Amino acid sequence: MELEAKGAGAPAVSPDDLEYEAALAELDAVLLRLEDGRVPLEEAIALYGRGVALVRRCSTLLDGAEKRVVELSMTGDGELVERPFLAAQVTEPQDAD
Amino acid sequence: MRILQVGELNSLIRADLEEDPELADVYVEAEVGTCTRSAAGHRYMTLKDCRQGLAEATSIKAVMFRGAGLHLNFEPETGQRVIAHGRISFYAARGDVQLYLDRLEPTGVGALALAFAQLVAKLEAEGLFAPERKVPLPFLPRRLAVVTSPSGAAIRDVIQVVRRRCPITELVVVPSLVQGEGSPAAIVGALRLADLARPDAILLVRGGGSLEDLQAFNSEEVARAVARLTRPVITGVGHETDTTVVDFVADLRAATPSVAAELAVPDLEQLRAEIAARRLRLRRAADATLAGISRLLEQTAGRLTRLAPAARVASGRQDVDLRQARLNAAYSRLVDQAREGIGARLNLLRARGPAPRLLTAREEFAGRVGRLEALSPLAVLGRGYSITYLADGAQVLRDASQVEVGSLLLTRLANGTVTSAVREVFPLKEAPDGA
Repeated sequence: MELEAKGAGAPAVSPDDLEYEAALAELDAVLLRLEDGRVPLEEAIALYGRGVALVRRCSTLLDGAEKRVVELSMTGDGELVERPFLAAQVTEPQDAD
Repeated sequence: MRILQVGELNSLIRADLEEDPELADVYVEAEVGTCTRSAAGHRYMTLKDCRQGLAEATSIKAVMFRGAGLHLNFEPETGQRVIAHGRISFYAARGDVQLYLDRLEPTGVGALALAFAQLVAKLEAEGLFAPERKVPLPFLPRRLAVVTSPSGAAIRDVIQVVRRRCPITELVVVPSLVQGEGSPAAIVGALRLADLARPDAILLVRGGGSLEDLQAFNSEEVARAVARLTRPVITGVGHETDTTVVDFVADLRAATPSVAAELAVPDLEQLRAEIAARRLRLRRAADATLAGISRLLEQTAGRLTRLAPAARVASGRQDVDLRQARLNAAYSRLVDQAREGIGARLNLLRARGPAPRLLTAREEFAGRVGRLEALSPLAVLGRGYSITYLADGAQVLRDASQVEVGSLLLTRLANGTVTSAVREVFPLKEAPDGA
């Protein structure tokens, strides 16, 4: 119901401002409306455009470079320091230190 | 000295017993002797001292009423060691001193299990395990902090799982001591540090070990530190069978470090496949909509062709402009009606179609009618649509592949034509045949 309201009246939020889940939910609502087949042409075109933008938003969120693994520590002055975490030191399973 | 009746004596004993606060809240480690369950669901048992080498076993009667027994996650059996909690009272009708149980935990390791049971009871009473305290996890976390030993198997497992499932999530390792002297304080400090890194969620993990090895995760200070964090915390401590106190306080509890990592991040490949499937559905739905509308237009145009000559002849040779206006109006109505699915109206119109005697006249007018038919789509154009042709004006532009940058286009509108040049072409990349 909330989704229908979005499709019809309320000014749509820019897809770029949507988190993945919200974009996906709206995309599903757009698809249901469009697949219903009884949508007037003008609205169908608008829905299609919105759907394309939402697909693009979701894809963008799923894209991105592989992120590094960092190790976080705090200096004596209380400053946070991040440095690459060396997977090489991952050797023994039970060393508690 | 007054001589008492038995009932009076028992009342005295009972009042005396129930006055003692220590007896109102006792934990006792014991071995279950006999245990029976009444038809009403109450359990009656004897609890025996389980220390070795006692010359004679001492025991006490205990009862667990149905309501308290609902929370049991095991069934007490003869010979089983348990930690029992309850209050001592006196069953005056039979002269029995009994332990009225409200909690019963199976145990092999007495002291730790007792401490565990007490801490769980205390934190639960404070509401720290309440479902409404649980913070939901973000669906697609950008940054995850991992509090664990930097050299254990746990961190290796977590890195491996997150790399495989969701490499776009950044991992921030916050090293901590996870066992032995000082480990609870170290974990509390690491949790605080992890929180400062502003992650979307915090994983608190440790590989398997003995019950003693996992004690830091059963400590009150660690449990409270986890409860204080406003960011969601996922725990994965030990093996599948281990449950620690922090597991109860965590927003999400995983059986192992690997499972914690799997719960923390989605599988990116799966998400991409879901999006690809939706992209395809979107394209198909749009195609179906357009195909439906263009089919209606074609059908209507076909009917109109048969209809038009008769209308013209019968009306008695009025001038072309008038006919054109009527024809356009009729066309508009037909398109609207067809789109609303009013087929009946169309059939009616068709029934009034050309009579045989008018065939010759029809031929005479064929040339003019041809022009009218060419004009009739203008009625549709007048409602805001346009038709785009390639520069030659003959081929309708239907597919992005028909043009390239620089191609000239001719766009026909209701009240004129516009020519334009293609600046960019964006073919839909998704393969229409699956993929």
